[in-house]
Order: sequence, then C-alpha cells, then structure tokens
Amino acid sequence: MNRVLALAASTFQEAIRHRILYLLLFFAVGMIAASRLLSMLTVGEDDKIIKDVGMSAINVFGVLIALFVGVGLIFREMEKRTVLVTLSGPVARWEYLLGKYFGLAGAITLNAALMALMLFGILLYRGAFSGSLVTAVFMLWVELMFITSVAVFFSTLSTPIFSALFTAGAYIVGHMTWSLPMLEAKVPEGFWRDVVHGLYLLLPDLEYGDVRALAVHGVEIPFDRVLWGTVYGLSYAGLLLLAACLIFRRRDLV
Amino acid sequence: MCAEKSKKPIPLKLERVTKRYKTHFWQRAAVSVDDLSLSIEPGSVLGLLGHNGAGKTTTIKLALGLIFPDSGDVRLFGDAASKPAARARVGYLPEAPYFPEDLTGRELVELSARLYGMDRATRRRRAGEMLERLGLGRAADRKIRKYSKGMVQRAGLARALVTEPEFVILDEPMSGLDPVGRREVRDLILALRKAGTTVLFASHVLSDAEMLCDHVAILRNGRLIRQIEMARLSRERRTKHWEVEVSGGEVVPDAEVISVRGNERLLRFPASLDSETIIARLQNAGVTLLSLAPQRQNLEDLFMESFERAEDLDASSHDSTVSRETTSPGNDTEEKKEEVVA
Repeated sequence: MNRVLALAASTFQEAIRHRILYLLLFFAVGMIAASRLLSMLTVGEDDKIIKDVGMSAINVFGVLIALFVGVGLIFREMEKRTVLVTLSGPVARWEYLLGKYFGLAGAITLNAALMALMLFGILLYRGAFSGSLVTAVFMLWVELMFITSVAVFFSTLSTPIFSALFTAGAYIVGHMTWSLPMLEAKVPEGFWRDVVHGLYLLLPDLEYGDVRALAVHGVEIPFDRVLWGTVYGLSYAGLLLLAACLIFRRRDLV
Repeated sequence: MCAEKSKKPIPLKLERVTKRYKTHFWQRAAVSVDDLSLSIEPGSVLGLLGHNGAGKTTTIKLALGLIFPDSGDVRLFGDAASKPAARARVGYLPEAPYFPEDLTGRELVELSARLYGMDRATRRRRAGEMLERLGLGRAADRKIRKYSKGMVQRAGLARALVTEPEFVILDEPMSGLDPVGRREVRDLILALRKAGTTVLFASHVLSDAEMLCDHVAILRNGRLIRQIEMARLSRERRTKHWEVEVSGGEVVPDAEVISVRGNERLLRFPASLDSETIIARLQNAGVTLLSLAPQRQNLEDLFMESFERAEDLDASSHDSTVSRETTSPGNDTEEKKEEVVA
C-alpha cells in the first residue's frame, strides 16, 4: 500500500503541475463568477442560476480535467518509457495503476473542492447557502471519481485521442441511460426489449446520483438516493479499475 | 569460498526463451528473441553484445518482467521475473533514460528508494550519498528538465544503485556520454564488480565490454551465437599476424608492407612464421629491426568472426531447407548452431 501511496503522491504532484489544469480552473472560476451576471437576466431566480451554473461548472470542468490530464497519463508514460523505470522495480502492475488513479483522483478532488468553496462562498455571502448543496457537490464528486476510472481504464487500452473520445462518450451516455427504461416500455416484448434492458443494466447511469436539480430547487435530497448513488458510482469505478488492472497485468511494455 | 559462491542463487536465468513482436495487428509477428538460453554467475559482469535490433533490449525487458515470453522461462534469483518481489534485488538503467522532468534529481532517487520499501531516513541519506558519488551533489535539487544528457544518465544510475542492488542491469550505459562520462561509468562498473555486484550490461561498444566483462554473449537476430569467457580469451587468443617496424635494407620475403615513412617501414608477417624465422629473414635482407610484436586476436575479431560464421550458417541453413524439401529430412542446422554456441 505504501507503494500505491508513493505513486499516487507523485502522480498528484505531476497532475497539479499540468498547465491545462490551471486554465480549466481559471475558466471554471470565471464561470462561477459570471453566473452572478447571468442571474441578472432573470428576475427573482438569481440564486438558482448561481447554484445551477456553479455546480455545472464543477461537473463539466472536473470531467474536462479527467479527459485532458487523465487519458494521457498512462499513455505518456508508456511513450516516454518512464513506466519501464517504475515497473522494473518491485512494483506490481496493479499498484502502479491504482497509484495513477488515486493521484489523478486527488488532483481532481482538489480542483472540485476549490470550485465548490468559491461557489459556497458566493452563496453564503448572498445568504442562499443550504446543506443540500454540499450533498449535491459530494454526489458530483462521486461522478468525477467514476469518470476518472473510465479515463484510466481506456488509457491502459488505447491512445489518448480514443481514450478521450470513449471517456467523453461514457459521460454523455451515462447522463442519457435514464431514458432507456422509457424506451424499454415502448419496445414490444422479445429480443430487442431484452437488449435494451441489458444495455440499461450494463451502461452507467449517472443521472441517478445527480441530485443537482433537487439542491437548486431546495427540495430535500432522499438519503437512500445519496447512499445508493454513492455505492453504485464507486462500485462501478472499482470494477473498471479491476478490469484495467487485469488488462494491464499481462500487457507487454515495449 | 567456491562452495559458498555456488550456493548463491543465479541472478538471471533464461531458458529457451522466444519472443515475437507485432507492430500492427495485421502484420506477421517478427522474432525478437529466438530460443535464447542464458545465465549469469553471481558476482560476474556479463556483456550483451550485438548490433542494434539484435535483441539486447528485448532480453533485458524479459529479464525485468516488462514483457512476457511467448515460450520459455525467465528467472530472477530463482523466481519468475514477473513477480515484483524478484525484482526488488535488481537495479535497472534503461537505454537513453527519460524521467519526469518536473522532479529534481533528489526526488527521483528518493521516489525510487521509496518504491523499493526504504524508510524515509535511509532513503534520504542514501539518495544524497549516491548523487554525491555520481557527481550530482550540487545539482541534486535542480529539476531534471535543466539537466544535460550526461547528468540525466548519471541521475538514472543513482536511481538504479540507491538500494544497493545485488544485480544491476544497464542498457547501453555509455550511450550519449562524453569521454569523461564514459570513463566515469566504466569506473563505476568496475567498482560494482569489485564489490561483488552482478552486472549485466548491453552495449555495442566492444572496447567497453573487453575492459569490463567476465563473460560476453553475442546476439544476432535474437539468437545467441557465441558466449566468450574473457579470461579464457586472453589466455587462448591466437596470434593473427606479426607487425614489424624496420629501417633501411632490401625487400623482405613474405612481408606485406603496411606503411612507409621516410626510411622506416611497417611490415606484416603471417602468423605461421615464428619470431626466429622473421628475424633471420630481416637479417638476410639487411634491414635494421626497430620493433617486433605479435598481433593477437581481440574481442572485435571474435565478434566479427562469429558474425561471419552465423551469416554462413544462415546461408547454408537456407540451402539445407531447400535441399531438405527435395531430399531426405535432417537437422544439420541445429548441429551447426550448437557448434557455434559452444
């Protein structure tokens, strides 16, 4: 475990030195600040707009960091051959992969936390802060941990461009799978209905854990949704990391 | 002493290892290492020689469990090379190493020591000592981005040696170094040998191998074509020819003139003549003898000889494959291969 920590720490350091991260953080902070301006366009809904835009910024920019920093992480190490140096020592392949994941996840967490603090600060100042916002941001963090595992999974398999496409694909699909049960209801019973049902079970459902809308509208967030959303998101991430470790275990590092 | 030495596990043993590579999935796999058997004695220095693409780096990657053999067995200290614990006793410097450029030399070496399980105080002390020893003491806290090529190489060596490994694998350790750097690396390998560390190093510079190695293994197209024990080579190497410097006098029979400078000539006599015969001929021709020296075989000669023999073997194996198709079956190539390897 010490090795995983050592690798995670060095990956974290490497990730937070990434220039793109600061650029994204800058944009996100800009967006949260600008939400104040946007809110002026709609009378009486200022706080909702700020909450909505702020949390969307945390979500989208977190995903972008996972995309830009995450997918290149392992590929770059393979290409520059630094991975050979690390894995020539007493480091197991899974330790390496988990170290990379936790390092990256740490950098993304730090960024999300900075953005969230800024958002909470603005809302506190306006007297519009509520505890459900913390829960919603926590659920966004779970989603980001899942997306990071997707990025690490694909980057052990493929080039950065494809990994980025697949990861972005997983994010988009994940926010659309909620519509599959509706489709299932409309498809006549039989093979295609089973296919749709199978797809719904297989593909990640990111909407279930997404409680932003509830937090924005001040509706109480049901505890079981938070609990099962967290269990679901983190288990899915765990399975993807396990699959990534299995694939990476016997891979030739040329 | 000998018995004690023989008890030590063999640091590296490859048994009938074959590895094929595909660059693209639609391409046929090319053989990179072919039926390679090799082992290295504890405390000795083995040089892995061959042209670029001979299979040296592939052999090293197999040894470190970075790639997996298609067939055969690779063992580090008796354990499968793919086991991380087996690699804990090994230090490795890759060819033209590249390290995360944002790290400082010290961070690089300390991170490596940490991955090997060294505690904080020890790794801090050892990293400082190693960097100092490799002449990076003052540059230890500078980022690797600012290092010269030679400094990166030395940082890589510090990283490989910080845990005092029993077995060190160096892939082209002298490439890209200036003469001073090469000398330093050479001295370092000699110091490792003196300390009883087992060293495997890949190189295509024969003079380095000649100076440092106890054994050399020559690879060609992924096959081991010859293994040479350097002590035996220096004892048994035969005379190629005689080189004789003379001045004045007539033409000397059997002598080939290599160069002429004023009144002085450099002559070459065949190895079949002995020194008395040569001196007698020089006296008859009325020349003054300035120097007479036997030119003995060196590693380069053996290397070239092995290559030529392997090429002939390839040509004959091609012929024999053709003839085998038309006449009786046989396995003469195998026999010849054995002979060359022996």
